Amino acid sequence: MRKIVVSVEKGKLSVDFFEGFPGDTCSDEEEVIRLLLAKMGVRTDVQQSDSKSEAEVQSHAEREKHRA
Amino acid sequence: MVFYDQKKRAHLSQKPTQHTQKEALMCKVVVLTTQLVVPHILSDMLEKLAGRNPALAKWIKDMDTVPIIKECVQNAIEKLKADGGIRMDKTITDYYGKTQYKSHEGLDIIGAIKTDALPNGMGIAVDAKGTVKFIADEYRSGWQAEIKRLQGLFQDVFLQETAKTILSIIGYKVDTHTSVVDDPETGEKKQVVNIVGVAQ
Repeated sequence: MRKIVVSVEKGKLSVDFFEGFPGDTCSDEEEVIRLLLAKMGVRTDVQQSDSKSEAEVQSHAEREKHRA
Repeated sequence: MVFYDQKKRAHLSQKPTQHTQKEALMCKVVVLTTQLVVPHILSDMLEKLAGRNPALAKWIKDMDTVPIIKECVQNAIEKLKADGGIRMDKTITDYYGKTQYKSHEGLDIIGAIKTDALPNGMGIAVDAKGTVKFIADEYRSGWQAEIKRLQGLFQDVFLQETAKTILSIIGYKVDTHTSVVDDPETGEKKQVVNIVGVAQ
Protein backbone atom coordinates (compact mmCIF):
# COMPACT_ATOMS: atom_id res chain seq x y z
CA MET A 1 0.00 0.00 0.00
CA ARG A 2 1.37 3.41 -0.99
CA LYS A 3 0.54 6.56 0.89
CA ILE A 4 1.10 10.26 0.17
CA VAL A 5 0.18 13.18 2.40
CA VAL A 6 -0.32 16.65 0.98
CA SER A 7 -0.51 19.42 3.60
CA VAL A 8 -2.14 22.80 3.09
CA GLU A 9 -1.68 25.69 5.47
CA LYS A 10 -1.60 29.47 5.08
CA GLY A 11 -1.65 29.37 1.28
CA LYS A 12 1.21 26.89 1.12
CA LEU A 13 1.00 23.36 -0.20
CA SER A 14 3.56 20.71 0.73
CA VAL A 15 3.79 17.24 -0.74
CA ASP A 16 5.24 15.06 1.95
CA PHE A 17 5.16 11.70 3.70
CA PHE A 18 5.73 9.16 0.98
CA GLU A 19 5.24 5.70 2.42
CA GLY A 20 5.42 2.30 0.82
CA PHE A 21 7.16 3.37 -2.38
CA PRO A 22 9.80 0.92 -3.52
CA GLY A 23 12.95 2.31 -5.10
CA ASP A 24 12.76 5.04 -7.71
CA THR A 25 8.96 5.20 -7.68
CA CYS A 26 9.09 7.66 -4.77
CA SER A 27 10.82 10.39 -6.79
CA ASP A 28 8.84 9.54 -9.94
CA GLU A 29 5.52 9.88 -8.15
CA GLU A 30 6.66 13.11 -6.53
CA GLU A 31 7.63 14.55 -9.91
CA VAL A 32 4.29 13.64 -11.50
CA ILE A 33 2.39 15.25 -8.62
CA ARG A 34 4.53 18.39 -8.80
CA LEU A 35 4.08 18.64 -12.58
CA LEU A 36 0.32 18.24 -12.37
CA LEU A 37 0.12 20.81 -9.58
CA ALA A 38 2.29 23.20 -11.59
CA LYS A 39 0.05 22.73 -14.60
CA MET A 40 -2.88 23.72 -12.39
CA GLY A 41 -0.96 26.85 -11.37
CA VAL A 42 -0.03 25.65 -7.89
CA ARG A 43 3.48 26.16 -6.58
CA THR A 44 4.66 23.35 -4.34
CA ASP A 45 7.22 22.69 -1.69
CA VAL A 46 8.29 19.10 -1.38
CA GLN A 47 9.47 18.51 2.13
CA GLN A 48 11.95 15.93 3.23
CA SER A 49 10.18 13.70 5.72
CA ASP A 50 11.83 10.68 7.29
CA SER A 51 9.73 8.26 5.26
CA LYS A 52 10.54 10.05 2.00
CA SER A 53 14.24 10.17 2.83
CA GLU A 54 14.10 6.49 3.70
CA ALA A 55 12.46 5.68 0.37
CA GLU A 56 15.13 7.64 -1.46
CA VAL A 57 17.90 5.94 0.49
CA GLN A 58 16.36 2.57 -0.43
CA SER A 59 16.17 3.73 -4.03
CA HIS A 60 19.84 4.70 -3.98
CA ALA A 61 20.76 1.38 -2.34
CA GLU A 62 18.81 -0.50 -5.00
CA ARG A 63 20.55 1.35 -7.81
CA GLU A 64 23.92 0.60 -6.25
CA LYS A 65 22.93 -3.06 -5.88
CA HIS A 66 21.95 -3.29 -9.57
CA ARG A 67 25.13 -1.48 -10.62
CA ALA A 68 27.21 -3.99 -8.66
CA MET B 1 -41.99 80.46 -4.36
CA VAL B 2 -41.53 79.36 -7.94
CA PHE B 3 -38.08 80.92 -7.99
CA TYR B 4 -37.13 79.04 -4.86
CA ASP B 5 -38.29 75.72 -6.33
CA GLN B 6 -36.34 76.30 -9.51
CA LYS B 7 -33.24 77.19 -7.53
CA LYS B 8 -33.67 74.15 -5.35
CA ARG B 9 -34.22 71.91 -8.36
CA ALA B 10 -31.19 73.34 -10.10
CA HIS B 11 -29.12 72.75 -6.97
CA LEU B 12 -30.37 69.17 -6.59
CA SER B 13 -29.81 68.35 -10.24
CA GLN B 14 -26.21 69.55 -10.10
CA LYS B 15 -24.95 68.13 -6.87
CA PRO B 16 -25.74 64.46 -7.41
CA THR B 17 -24.26 64.65 -10.91
CA GLN B 18 -20.95 65.99 -9.59
CA HIS B 19 -20.99 63.46 -6.79
CA THR B 20 -21.72 60.57 -9.15
CA GLN B 21 -19.01 61.54 -11.62
CA LYS B 22 -16.43 61.84 -8.83
CA GLU B 23 -17.31 58.46 -7.33
CA ALA B 24 -17.59 56.75 -10.69
CA LEU B 25 -13.95 57.56 -11.23
CA MET B 26 -12.90 56.20 -7.86
CA CYS B 27 -15.03 53.10 -7.48
CA LYS B 28 -14.85 50.52 -10.17
CA VAL B 29 -15.17 46.79 -10.37
CA VAL B 30 -11.70 45.54 -11.25
CA VAL B 31 -9.84 42.33 -11.87
CA LEU B 32 -7.52 42.02 -8.91
CA THR B 33 -4.03 40.60 -8.88
CA THR B 34 -3.78 36.84 -8.86
CA GLN B 35 -1.26 34.40 -7.53
CA LEU B 36 -2.48 31.19 -9.06
CA VAL B 37 -0.97 30.98 -12.50
CA VAL B 38 0.81 28.28 -14.51
CA PRO B 39 4.55 28.84 -13.97
CA HIS B 40 6.96 29.39 -16.87
CA ILE B 41 9.18 26.57 -15.61
CA LEU B 42 6.52 23.99 -16.49
CA SER B 43 8.00 23.35 -19.95
CA ASP B 44 11.46 22.79 -18.41
CA MET B 45 9.98 20.34 -15.92
CA LEU B 46 8.16 18.50 -18.73
CA GLU B 47 11.31 18.33 -20.86
CA LYS B 48 13.17 16.78 -17.95
CA LEU B 49 10.45 14.16 -17.49
CA ALA B 50 10.27 13.48 -21.27
CA GLY B 51 13.90 12.37 -21.15
CA ARG B 52 12.94 9.51 -18.85
CA ASN B 53 9.26 8.91 -19.61
CA PRO B 54 8.09 10.52 -22.89
CA ALA B 55 4.60 8.98 -22.78
CA LEU B 56 3.92 10.35 -19.30
CA ALA B 57 5.31 13.78 -20.20
CA LYS B 58 3.06 13.89 -23.30
CA TRP B 59 0.03 12.86 -21.24
CA ILE B 60 0.64 15.69 -18.79
CA LYS B 61 1.43 18.20 -21.56
CA ASP B 62 -1.75 17.38 -23.49
CA MET B 63 -4.00 17.40 -20.45
CA ASP B 64 -6.53 20.24 -20.61
CA THR B 65 -6.52 21.48 -17.03
CA VAL B 66 -8.82 24.50 -17.51
CA PRO B 67 -12.07 22.51 -16.93
CA ILE B 68 -10.45 20.84 -13.90
CA ILE B 69 -9.41 24.24 -12.49
CA LYS B 70 -12.95 25.55 -13.01
CA GLU B 71 -14.38 22.55 -11.18
CA CYS B 72 -11.90 23.04 -8.31
CA VAL B 73 -12.91 26.73 -8.10
CA GLN B 74 -16.61 25.75 -7.99
CA ASN B 75 -15.95 23.15 -5.27
CA ALA B 76 -13.83 25.62 -3.27
CA ILE B 77 -16.62 28.22 -3.35
CA GLU B 78 -19.14 25.59 -2.21
CA LYS B 79 -16.83 24.64 0.66
CA LEU B 80 -16.33 28.25 1.72
CA LYS B 81 -20.10 28.62 1.93
CA ALA B 82 -20.02 26.21 4.85
CA ASP B 83 -17.73 28.66 6.67
CA GLY B 84 -19.71 30.84 9.08
CA GLY B 85 -20.53 34.24 7.67
CA ILE B 86 -19.70 33.51 4.03
CA ARG B 87 -22.55 33.56 1.54
CA MET B 88 -22.42 32.35 -2.04
CA ASP B 89 -23.87 34.19 -5.00
CA LYS B 90 -23.65 34.19 -8.79
CA THR B 91 -23.04 37.92 -9.21
CA ILE B 92 -21.16 40.80 -7.61
CA THR B 93 -22.30 44.39 -7.45
CA ASP B 94 -20.56 47.74 -7.79
CA TYR B 95 -20.17 50.40 -5.09
CA TYR B 96 -23.83 51.44 -5.14
CA GLY B 97 -25.07 47.86 -5.16
CA LYS B 98 -27.21 48.62 -8.21
CA THR B 99 -25.25 47.13 -11.13
CA GLN B 100 -24.86 43.38 -11.04
CA TYR B 101 -21.95 41.71 -12.77
CA LYS B 102 -22.14 38.13 -14.05
CA SER B 103 -18.92 38.72 -15.96
CA HIS B 104 -16.28 41.41 -16.31
CA GLU B 105 -13.72 42.14 -19.02
CA GLY B 106 -14.66 38.92 -20.79
CA LEU B 107 -14.33 36.79 -17.67
CA ASP B 108 -17.39 34.81 -16.58
CA ILE B 109 -17.80 34.76 -12.83
CA ILE B 110 -17.99 31.12 -11.71
CA GLY B 111 -19.21 32.13 -8.28
CA ALA B 112 -19.06 34.99 -5.83
CA ILE B 113 -18.51 35.05 -2.09
CA LYS B 114 -20.08 37.72 0.10
CA THR B 115 -19.80 38.60 3.77
CA ASP B 116 -21.23 41.34 5.97
CA ALA B 117 -17.88 43.13 5.63
CA LEU B 118 -17.98 42.74 1.82
CA PRO B 119 -21.68 42.88 0.87
CA ASN B 120 -20.96 43.53 -2.81
CA GLY B 121 -18.94 40.34 -3.00
CA MET B 122 -15.79 39.03 -4.62
CA GLY B 123 -16.23 37.14 -7.87
CA ILE B 124 -13.94 34.32 -8.91
CA ALA B 125 -13.28 33.56 -12.57
CA VAL B 126 -10.87 31.45 -14.61
CA ASP B 127 -9.41 32.79 -17.85
CA ALA B 128 -8.74 30.82 -21.04
CA LYS B 129 -5.24 29.89 -19.85
CA GLY B 130 -6.53 28.57 -16.52
CA THR B 131 -5.46 31.53 -14.40
CA VAL B 132 -7.69 32.19 -11.41
CA LYS B 133 -8.88 35.80 -11.30
CA PHE B 134 -10.58 37.67 -8.47
CA ILE B 135 -13.04 40.43 -9.39
CA ALA B 136 -14.42 42.99 -6.97
CA ASP B 137 -15.07 46.63 -6.21
CA GLU B 138 -12.35 47.51 -3.73
CA TYR B 139 -13.23 51.18 -3.27
CA ARG B 140 -13.42 51.17 0.54
CA SER B 141 -10.40 50.29 2.64
CA GLY B 142 -12.57 47.96 4.75
CA TRP B 143 -13.48 46.07 1.60
CA GLN B 144 -9.83 45.77 0.58
CA ALA B 145 -8.97 44.10 3.90
CA GLU B 146 -11.92 41.71 3.59
CA ILE B 147 -11.02 40.89 -0.03
CA LYS B 148 -7.49 40.02 1.09
CA ARG B 149 -8.85 37.80 3.88
CA LEU B 150 -11.29 36.05 1.52
CA GLN B 151 -8.57 35.52 -1.09
CA GLY B 152 -6.44 33.80 1.57
CA LEU B 153 -9.36 31.58 2.64
CA PHE B 154 -10.21 30.77 -0.97
CA GLN B 155 -6.62 29.96 -1.87
CA ASP B 156 -6.27 27.42 0.95
CA VAL B 157 -9.52 25.65 0.02
CA PHE B 158 -8.63 25.79 -3.70
CA LEU B 159 -5.24 24.18 -2.96
CA GLN B 160 -6.99 21.40 -1.03
CA GLU B 161 -9.42 20.79 -3.90
CA THR B 162 -6.57 20.79 -6.44
CA ALA B 163 -4.48 18.32 -4.44
CA LYS B 164 -7.50 16.03 -3.95
CA THR B 165 -8.30 16.12 -7.66
CA ILE B 166 -4.73 15.40 -8.75
CA LEU B 167 -4.33 12.48 -6.34
CA SER B 168 -7.65 11.08 -7.59
CA ILE B 169 -6.56 11.45 -11.25
CA ILE B 170 -3.43 9.39 -10.63
CA GLY B 171 -5.39 6.68 -8.87
CA TYR B 172 -5.34 7.44 -5.16
CA LYS B 173 -8.25 7.10 -2.79
CA VAL B 174 -8.35 10.45 -1.04
CA ASP B 175 -9.32 11.43 2.47
CA THR B 176 -9.03 14.77 4.25
CA HIS B 177 -7.90 15.27 7.86
CA THR B 178 -7.95 18.64 9.59
CA SER B 179 -5.92 19.28 12.73
CA VAL B 180 -5.11 22.27 14.89
CA VAL B 181 -1.48 22.55 15.95
CA ASP B 182 0.75 25.10 17.70
CA ASP B 183 2.58 27.42 15.34
CA PRO B 184 6.25 27.41 16.49
CA GLU B 185 6.78 30.86 14.90
CA THR B 186 3.86 32.74 16.43
CA GLY B 187 2.96 30.47 19.36
CA GLU B 188 -0.65 30.61 18.20
CA LYS B 189 -2.91 27.76 17.12
CA LYS B 190 -3.08 27.10 13.40
CA GLN B 191 -5.15 24.83 11.21
CA VAL B 192 -3.40 22.27 9.04
CA VAL B 193 -5.32 20.29 6.43
CA ASN B 194 -3.78 16.99 5.37
CA ILE B 195 -4.97 15.33 2.19
CA VAL B 196 -4.10 11.67 2.47
CA GLY B 197 -3.90 9.62 -0.71
CA VAL B 198 -3.76 5.84 -0.47
CA ALA B 199 -3.19 3.45 -3.39
CA GLN B 200 -2.77 -0.31 -3.50
